[in-house]
Amino acid sequence: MTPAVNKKNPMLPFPCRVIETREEISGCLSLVLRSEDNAELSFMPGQFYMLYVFGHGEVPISVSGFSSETDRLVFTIMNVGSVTRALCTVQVGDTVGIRGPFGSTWPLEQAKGRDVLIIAGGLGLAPLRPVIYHLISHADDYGDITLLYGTRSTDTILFQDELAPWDKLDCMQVLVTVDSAGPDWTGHVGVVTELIDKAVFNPSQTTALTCGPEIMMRFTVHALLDQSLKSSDIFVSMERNMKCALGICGRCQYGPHFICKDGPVLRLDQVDHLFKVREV
Amino acid sequence: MGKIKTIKDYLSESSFFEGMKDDHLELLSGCGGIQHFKPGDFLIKEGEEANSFYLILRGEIAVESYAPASGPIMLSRSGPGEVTGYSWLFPPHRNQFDSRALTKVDAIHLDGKCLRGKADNDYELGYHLMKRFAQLVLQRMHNTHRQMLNVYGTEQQVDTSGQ
Repeated sequence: MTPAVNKKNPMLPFPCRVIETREEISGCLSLVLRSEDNAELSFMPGQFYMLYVFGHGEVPISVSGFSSETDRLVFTIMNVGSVTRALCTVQVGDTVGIRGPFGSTWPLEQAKGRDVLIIAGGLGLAPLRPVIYHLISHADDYGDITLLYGTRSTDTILFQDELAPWDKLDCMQVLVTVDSAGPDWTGHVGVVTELIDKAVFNPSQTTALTCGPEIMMRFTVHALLDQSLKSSDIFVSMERNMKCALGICGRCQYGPHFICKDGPVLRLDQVDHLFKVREV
Repeated sequence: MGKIKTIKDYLSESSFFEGMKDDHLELLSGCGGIQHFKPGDFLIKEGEEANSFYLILRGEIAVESYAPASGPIMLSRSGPGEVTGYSWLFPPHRNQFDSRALTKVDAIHLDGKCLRGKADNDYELGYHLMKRFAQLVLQRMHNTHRQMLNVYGTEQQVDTSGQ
């Protein structure tokens, strides 16, 4: 198989067929894409593709499936704008253009031999799912894996059918919290940062990966630093408006970084000074 | 045969009362007793006079508010080592929310009325109690503000452009 990315013209979308759609939660869909000519569709956990809906436009979407499956790509998309709305209405058999993979990856090598603390908020669990799959399938290379996941309500818990099986694994613990819940809910109630106090981990032996809206990551980072994690052991997945995905147009500039090229995954000590700057 | 734990033993082992002087723990334990709750039992009921708080030893409780249309809405959840109830310390001494057992719960019930009297006679004890409960209230307030912010928002990691 040849890779899907067009080395000669990385701005040119590559046609893929929608082979499966799955509603995850209300307004949120997972799309499974396969290249129309069986080209290899590779990525590393943390990377994103530009998805092109013909006649509507292009959006950056992180891959949310297995990185070991090279015949397909899974994207989890929330309907929040015109292109994502169009993506959420595609049918099996439709064609979608893709460019990629782009961007940096979660620090799988650096985290080897260490405990991994994953903190996800809302749809931020989607870009972290590939790293969870990787850690589980290479559990011998890593210490304990802890997933702390926070979302608004019990109706907005993403990948709900996977959380309980993950929690049953010897190598993994999953704690889920929602902002408020009815009497049937048996999990935690409160913001995701409260779970950091409840999780048991050794700060000097832990690599933390976090993804979610920036305000959630900011509070998470504060809580992790309060627990004595070093900023060089904390990784965040940043989001900014991406257009070219090649570090040319500058639309996703974040201080000295282009999120499409230097990110989306960045080590906290590369960006912590920017976290304190408003309107960057 | 192991020694039976006293209320004072439980209090001195709790991180909430960590650093409290021995004679203050003695005073506190004089206002305390162990209580047991079944799932669904109320430890604290909204609207009632607030004259107690609980140190949870075993089990889980929910802090809730009841809405006629949707039933109980869970606002937070606490487990072993955590304290529920702080309205007893501040006028008008009225519970603002329910605390309800989600599982079997063993907890140390501390009589707030008794403690308020002891704190009025011993300002040092009052200061140490106020310091701990102010920290608890601050933490809950921060958490509540974050819950109100909807930090998981509609802006999403995967659609970075809002397009």
